[in-house]
Amino acid sequence: MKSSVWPTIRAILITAVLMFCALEAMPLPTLKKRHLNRKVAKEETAQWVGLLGKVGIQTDEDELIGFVMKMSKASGKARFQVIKPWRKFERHLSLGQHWGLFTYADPYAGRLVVEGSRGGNAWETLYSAPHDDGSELSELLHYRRVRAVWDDAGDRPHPGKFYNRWVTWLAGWIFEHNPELNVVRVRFDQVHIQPPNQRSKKSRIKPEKPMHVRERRREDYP
Amino acid sequence: MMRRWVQRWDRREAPHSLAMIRILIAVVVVYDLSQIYLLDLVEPLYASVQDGGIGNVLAKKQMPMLYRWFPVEAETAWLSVGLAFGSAVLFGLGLLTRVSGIVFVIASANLAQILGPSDRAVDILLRNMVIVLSLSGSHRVWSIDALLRTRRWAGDGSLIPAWPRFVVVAQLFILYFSAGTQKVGLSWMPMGDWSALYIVLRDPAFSVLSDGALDRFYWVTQVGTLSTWIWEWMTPLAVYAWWCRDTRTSRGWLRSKLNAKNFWHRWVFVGMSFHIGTMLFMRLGMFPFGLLALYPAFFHPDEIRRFLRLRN
Repeated sequence: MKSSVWPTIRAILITAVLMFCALEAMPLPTLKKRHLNRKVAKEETAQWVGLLGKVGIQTDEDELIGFVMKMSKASGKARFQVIKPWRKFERHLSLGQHWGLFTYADPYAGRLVVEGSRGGNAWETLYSAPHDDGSELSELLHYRRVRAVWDDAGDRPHPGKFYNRWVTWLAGWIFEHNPELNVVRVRFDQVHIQPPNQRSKKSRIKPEKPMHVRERRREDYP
Repeated sequence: MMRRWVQRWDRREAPHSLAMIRILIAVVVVYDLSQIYLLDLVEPLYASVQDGGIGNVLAKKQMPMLYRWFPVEAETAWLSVGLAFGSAVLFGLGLLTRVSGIVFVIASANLAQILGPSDRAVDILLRNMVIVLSLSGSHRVWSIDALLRTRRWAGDGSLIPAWPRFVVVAQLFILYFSAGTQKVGLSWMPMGDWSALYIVLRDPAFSVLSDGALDRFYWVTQVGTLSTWIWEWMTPLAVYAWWCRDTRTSRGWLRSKLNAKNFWHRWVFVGMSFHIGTMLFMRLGMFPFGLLALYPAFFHPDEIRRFLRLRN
């Protein structure tokens, strides 16, 4: 009995699991307004409007965003309803099927810069991404679990909820390893990555725009 | 058709492919987790904010598993990392393999719940896969379990269900096709300028190569972008090629073409090259290593044994 029924049950279970996984991984847009506020999203929207116009679909940026948001909401809701029981199981074990790997290449990336000062206005650069001088600090910042906390902050208009606490911890680490420093400053310089064939002379000398600047002072640490 | 489907999932084969995946995953994970200790990051990453951590477990709607069972203090952070590390070691050695695999998944999920951003796609993927391996017979060879059971490191040569290997392959198909179809940025697509890889390689968070070198070899990055995009979109054809290898005696023009041209091995080889490329030219941590650890699933255990020159 066991030998004839079990393979069928197992095949059904495996098929069901794979279907849930495939459905969860389906490339349905799950966009939010804040995603479309990014510079790269605005540029791509304008390009899509142009491309659609070339194939006879006349629209403008607001209309296109409205349509995408509407579709995104509807498809996200439908998917959520279908995979709801599966998600309950997945959530407990932090499993998932979201494989958006470099979905879009963001040309407005952030360069992490960490500086220290003994006081006054003289700052020395302790780290500037992606520089790897083999120091303990760069090793620490490059470790993937640490980088995961900071790398997203550099690409966003708002750095996220962990950023301030991360800066506080990082500054504490730097003060401990550099007794001569009294102030630590962390920031992201927004770089504009342009392929060589799109670069003008003007853009080559464009200064990097500082973002999310935070300072920590030694006296604030116990 | 239903009968053939059931038969497919009921096949049996030698355990070498799955055992190799188990060991490779453990090596990758153990190395990664050891960095937490070596860089003195246990408390910064996994303690609560009042104990010097970056995350705030007390502010979460649902507390991470271990913080529900143990007090919110620095020792629990050490326990969290220690449990993940210890279970990964046991899983790799194949001691109480199934139990240690499940414990690893729970411990790794606990780390993800403490500090979400530090948990990336590769962590999720490996948790998915360790669950599958825990349900498999990957411990029947190259494990302490096999040694204790059969007095031989190489096990007793018994066959195990093949479905877990097929599930690993299916997971990789889902991952690659999903990743390909989600690459909607114009710089990835034919309507764009194929500059995606150039932009990604110059992102200061991941960059390894100098800007000058990338400028000089811009065309290579464009070829890389195009190849990545085509390769990921070709996943459905790879699924069919995988099926065709199994049914090579059946008729069909495309089947014989794919088999004659050895499309399957070529597709796998290109995938491996991409991951080796990201390993060399990008700072992605354990991502390429974690993906490559799953590649033995693409090969029948007999191919692996032939490659390793093992006798039955």
